[in-house]
Amino acid sequence: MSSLPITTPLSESSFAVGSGATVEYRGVRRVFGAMSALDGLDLRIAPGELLALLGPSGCGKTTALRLLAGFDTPTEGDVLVDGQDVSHTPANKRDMGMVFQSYSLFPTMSATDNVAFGLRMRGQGTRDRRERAGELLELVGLAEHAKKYPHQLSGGQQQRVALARALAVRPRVLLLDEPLSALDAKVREQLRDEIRRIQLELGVTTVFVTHDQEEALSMADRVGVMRSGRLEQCDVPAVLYDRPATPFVAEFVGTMNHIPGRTEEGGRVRVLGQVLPGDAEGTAPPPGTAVDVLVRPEAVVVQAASADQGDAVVMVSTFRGSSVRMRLALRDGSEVLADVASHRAAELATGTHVSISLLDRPVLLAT
Amino acid sequence: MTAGLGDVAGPADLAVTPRRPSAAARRSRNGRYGRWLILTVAGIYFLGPLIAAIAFTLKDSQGGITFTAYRDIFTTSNGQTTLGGALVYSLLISAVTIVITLGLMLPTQLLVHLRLPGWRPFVETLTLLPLVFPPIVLVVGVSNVYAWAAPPTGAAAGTQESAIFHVLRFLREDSHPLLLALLYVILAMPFTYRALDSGIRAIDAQTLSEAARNLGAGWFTVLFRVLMPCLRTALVNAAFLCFALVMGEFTIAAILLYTRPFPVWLAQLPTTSGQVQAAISVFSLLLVEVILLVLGALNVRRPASRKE
Amino acid sequence: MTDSHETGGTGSTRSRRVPLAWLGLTPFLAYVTLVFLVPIGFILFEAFRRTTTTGATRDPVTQQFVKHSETTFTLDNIHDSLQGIYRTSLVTSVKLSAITAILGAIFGLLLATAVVSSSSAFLRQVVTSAAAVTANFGGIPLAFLFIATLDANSGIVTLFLQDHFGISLQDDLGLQLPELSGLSLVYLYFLIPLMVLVMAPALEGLKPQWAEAAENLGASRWTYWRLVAAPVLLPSFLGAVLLLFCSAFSAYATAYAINSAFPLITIRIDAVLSGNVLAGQGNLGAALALLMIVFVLPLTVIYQLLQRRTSRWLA
Repeated sequence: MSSLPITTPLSESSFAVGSGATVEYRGVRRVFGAMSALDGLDLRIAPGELLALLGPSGCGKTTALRLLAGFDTPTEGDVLVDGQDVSHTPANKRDMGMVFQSYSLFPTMSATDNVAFGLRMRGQGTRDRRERAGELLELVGLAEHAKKYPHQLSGGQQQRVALARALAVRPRVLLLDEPLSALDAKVREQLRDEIRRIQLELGVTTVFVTHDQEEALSMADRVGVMRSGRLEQCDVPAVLYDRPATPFVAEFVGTMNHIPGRTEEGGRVRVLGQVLPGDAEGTAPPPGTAVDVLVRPEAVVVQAASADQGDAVVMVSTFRGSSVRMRLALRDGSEVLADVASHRAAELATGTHVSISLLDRPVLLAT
Repeated sequence: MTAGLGDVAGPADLAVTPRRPSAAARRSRNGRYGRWLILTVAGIYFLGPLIAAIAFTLKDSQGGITFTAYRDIFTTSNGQTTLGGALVYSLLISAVTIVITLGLMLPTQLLVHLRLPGWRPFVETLTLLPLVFPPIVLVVGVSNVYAWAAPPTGAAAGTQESAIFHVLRFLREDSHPLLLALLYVILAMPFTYRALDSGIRAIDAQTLSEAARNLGAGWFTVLFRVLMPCLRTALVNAAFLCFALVMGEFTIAAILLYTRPFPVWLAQLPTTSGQVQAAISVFSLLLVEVILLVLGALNVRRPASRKE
Repeated sequence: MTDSHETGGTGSTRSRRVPLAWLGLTPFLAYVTLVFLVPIGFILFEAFRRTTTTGATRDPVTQQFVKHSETTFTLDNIHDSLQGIYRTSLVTSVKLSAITAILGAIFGLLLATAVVSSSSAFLRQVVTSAAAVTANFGGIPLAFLFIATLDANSGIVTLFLQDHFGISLQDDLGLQLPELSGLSLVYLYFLIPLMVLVMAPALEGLKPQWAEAAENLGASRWTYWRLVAAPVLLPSFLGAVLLLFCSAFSAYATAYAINSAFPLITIRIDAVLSGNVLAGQGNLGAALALLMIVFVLPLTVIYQLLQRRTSRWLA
C-alpha cells in the first residue's frame, strides 16, 4: 500500500484554509448485530489530499464516511483527526463539512441562508455570514441564484449549494457521500471537475465516497477500493489500474480479460501462443501451473486475418467514441475483449476473422 | 362522524414498510424516554375508556361481576328491533352503498384517467365538496327539498301530490331506505375517490389498457378482465371505507327519523340499558379495529407485486 | 392515445368518440348534482325565505278553513339565527371546536412524533389503524364509552376516584361529562387520532438528511427542530388545526348522545328541523346551516392553500 499522496501546493487565495487536517482510521470495526459493515480499516489521509473510497454497495465505504462524520460510532478502533481521537466527539462538534447524495438543502431557506447556516451555528452575525455565503456561492458559480429556494434549483445547482454550505465553515475535513450519483451524466462531469478544482484551491482534506470508478480515478489523489468491509487496495489511480493487488480490484477497476495460460521458467507465462514476462508480486507460481492471465482490453492487439490463420472472430462491436470495444470469440469458445481505435473499426466489422496478440509487457497472473 | 379534509388513510395506506429511523433519532436517549412517556400517556387515555367501559359492563349492583349485559345484548330492543335487526339493516344499506359507489365511481374515474385527463381537477374538487359541507348541512338541505316537494299543509285532502314527491317518499321509505344509501355514497365520496385513485395510479391503468388494446381487447374486456382484477385492493379499500362509514353514521339517519340503522338503534336504547350500550360500543369499536388491522396486514404482504 | 379500432359495445363511430367520452361523465355529474348540489342549493335558497300566514278563509264548498300563506325573501332567518339560544350555540360550538382543535393539535403532534420515530413497525401499524377507526367511526360508540367512564353517577373512573381517593370529578377536578370540559375530553378522543393521521405523513416527509446536515453544520437537536423542521411542518400543522376545527365544529352524534340539550349549533339545527319539518322552521334550519357553511368554507380554502404549499417543499 503506497502512502505518498499527490498534492498540489496551496494557493494564496483568500479562501485557502491553511493546511487541511490529517485523518486516520486505526483498526476500525463497525458491527451491526451479526453483520460487520467494517472489518478492520486502517487508513491514513494526508492534509489536503482527496481520497476516494470506491466499492460496490455494502462494501462499507459509506459506513467509514459516517464514522468520520460522527453519525455513527465504531465498535472497535479509533478515528483520529489531526492526531486526536474524535470517536466520541458528537457530530455537531467535529468541524467537518459534508455533502450528501441528495435532498440535504433546508427547503424553507434560500441558497444564501442554507450556505450561511453553519456560520450561524458558530455565532456569526447576519451581515458577516451573508457576505461569506455570497463569496462561496460565487466560488461555485451560483451568485445570481443566491435568493432562490431549493425547489427552484436544478439537481446540479442544489449540489453546488450543498458544497458551498459545507465549505462555508472552513472545515478541517470535507466529506462527500456520492454527491454526483443522483445527477445527469453531463452535469456529473462538470461538477466533478469543479469539485476537484475547488478542493485543490482550498487545500482541504477530502474523503469522497463513490461507486463510480471513473469518478474516483479521475478526481482522486488516491483511491481506496473496498469490499465487504475491508480495504483491498489504496493507491494512486495509475497504480490501481495497472497493478491491481487483488482479483477483485482487477475486476472492479476497469475491465479485465481472463485468458488461460501456463507458467514457464523464469516467471514467464505462455498465453495465446506468446511468452510474456509475468508480473506477480511476491512469489510466482511454479512453472507449469495453469493460471489466468489478466490483460486489459487496450493491451490486446487485433489484426484482420484469413479464416484459417485467424485465432478469433469478431462477435460484437460497441462504439464508444474514441475507441471501439470488440468482443472476440476464440476457437475454443472463450471470449476476449479488445479495445480498438475507432478509425480501424471499418476493417474489423462483425464476423471478420482476426488474429490477436498481446502487448509485450509484464502481465498479471491469477491462480 | 366525518374525518374531514385531506389525507385520511384507507386500509391499504396503512401498509407500513419497515423503516430504519435515522441514526440521530436512534441515538437520542432523551428522545427515547420522551417517546415512551408520550406513548404511555396516550395508551392510558385511549385504552382507559375501553377498559372502563368493559368494567362498567361487568358491574353488578352489589359490586361483583355479572355477565347479564352480554346476555342481554341480543335481546334488548329500542322498540323497533333488536341488535341483529339493526346490524342487518345497516349491513344492507352499506351493501347498497358499496354497489352504487363502485358502479358510479370506478367507471367514472377510469374514464377520466384514461380519456379525459383534463377533467381530473374538476372531478377531484367535486369529490372533495362533501367534506366541506358537513353531514348535518346536507341533511338540512334534504329536509328542505322534501318540504318544498310536499303538498302545503292545510291543503285540502286529495290535492294532487307531485311526481317528485312520490319519488322522494319512496326513497325515504323505512323498509327500503334508499335515500340513506344515496346520501352515503356522497358522504363516502372523498374517501372512496382517493382510495380508487391511488389504486388506478399504482397499476398504471394507462399502460395496461393500451397494452391490452394493442393485443386486440375491446373496452369491456379491458375493464373487467384486465383492470378490475388489478384493482382488487383499491376496491376492497373503497368498500371498507363505505362499510365503516355506513355502520357508524348517525347524524343523517337520526335527523331523518330512521330508527333501525345500527348507530341510531344503539343511541335510542332505553336508558336502563346503559351496560348493554357500553358493551355493544366496545364490541363495535374493537371489531372495526381488528378488521382494519387484518386488512393492513394483508396489504403488507403484497409488496412483492408492487412496482418500485 | 389514438386508436382507430374503436369497436366496443357502444357501437360509436369515430367522429363521435370524443363527445361520447364526455357523455360517460354524465352519470357521475347527474348524481352529484341531484343528491348533493341540489340540497345544498336549497339551503342557500331557503335560508332567505319565510312563509307567513296571511290569514284564513273559509272554503265555501267544504266549509273548512283554508290557510293562506305568503312566502317572501327576507333576512329574518339570518337575523334570528344570530339571536338568543342560537347565538349561544354558535359561540359554544366555536369555543369547543377551537379549544379541542388546539389541544388536539398539540397532543396529536406529540403522539405523531413518538409514533414516527419508533422503530417498531407493529406499533406504527396499530396506532395508524386505531387512528383511522376512531377518526372515522367514533360517534355513538365513543359517547357510550365515555359515559361508562365518566358519568357523574355511575362512571367507573368517577366512582373509583370517589371511593378510593375521595376526589369528586365534578367539584375537585371541574370535569363534568355533559358540559364543555367533559365534551372536550371526548372530542379529543377522535381529534388526536385525526391529527396523527394528518401529521404522520408530514413528519415522515422530514428527510433524515436535513437532520444530519444540520448536525454536521453544528446545530443541536433543538436548533434543528426550531430552524429547519418547524418551518417545514408549519403549513401542515396549521392546516391540521383547521381540519380539526372543522371536524369538531361539524360533529353531532357524540355530543348528542352525551347531552342532547348541550348548546351546540349542530344540535340546535336538529331541534329546529325535528320541531316542525314542513313549516317555516325549515327556513331557520337552512339559515343555521348557511351559518355553518360560512364558517367552514373559508377554512377549507385556507387549508387547501396550505396543503399546496407543503407539497411544494416536500416534493
